Amino acid sequence: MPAPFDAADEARLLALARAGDGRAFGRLVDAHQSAVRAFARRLIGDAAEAEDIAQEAFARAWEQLSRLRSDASLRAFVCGVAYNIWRSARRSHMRRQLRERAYARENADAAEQPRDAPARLALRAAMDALPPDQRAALALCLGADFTHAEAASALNLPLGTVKSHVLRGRAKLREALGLTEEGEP
Amino acid sequence: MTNDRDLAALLGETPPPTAAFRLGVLARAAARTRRREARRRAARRIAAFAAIGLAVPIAGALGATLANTQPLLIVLAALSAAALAALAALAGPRGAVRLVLGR
Repeated sequence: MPAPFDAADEARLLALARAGDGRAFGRLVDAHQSAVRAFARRLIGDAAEAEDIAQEAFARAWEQLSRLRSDASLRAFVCGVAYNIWRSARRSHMRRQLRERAYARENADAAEQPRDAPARLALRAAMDALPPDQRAALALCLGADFTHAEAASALNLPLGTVKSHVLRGRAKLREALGLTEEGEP
Repeated sequence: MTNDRDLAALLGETPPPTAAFRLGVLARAAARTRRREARRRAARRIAAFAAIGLAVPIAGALGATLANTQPLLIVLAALSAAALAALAALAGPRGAVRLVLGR
């Protein structure tokens, strides 16, 4: 587990990384990889593909660090890069994903399932049915500790749009689980 | 299962940071740099050969013939040979070959 560092440390590491220092960039990767990987997992659903996109996002973000404003959050920036990669790869991957999910469903009965597997599947199906922007806003804001402002900056959307995406998306996910707004079935 | 964190955990757990992920990122970044530099080298080579290829017909269109440009060509050849010899002396034979081939 890397030692946490403050904003001044992050600014110093960013300056070193911009100058091509791989060790400094590695420390930034360690500090933000959990948030970015969690976002990618929640957005995409497939853990292997999410890892792939998260790694690619960090690699591309390193090349684009000069575009990062000094007051902007690095993890929001990397999540934005990951989101753009996912959106551009989405069409070509869609058919393959549909095929793989159909296969997974066929084999779901045979394999031993964890206790909350039906809830996971229902949530995943509800998440996949959401429009990309709404899905990404939810993936960022639900559990990854991203503020609405950070999500708006990552996704290049107005703050109000992000707030309404999160509100409506959350309602749809709860509906998929058969929960009321108070949390009772 | 009432709060956002529960929903988020069901959609995908937050993974702990791993060295393998960091190494994967650095390997990808290095591969992207190599590809970018290879593309730049290829573009430079294409531009150089295109310039050489264009120079002959342009010179011909401007009325230059082999006979009246011969002194200039001899000087260019002598300068190129001197530059190669200087490179070989500075970088060693292998370094000079790498510079000439752009690798």
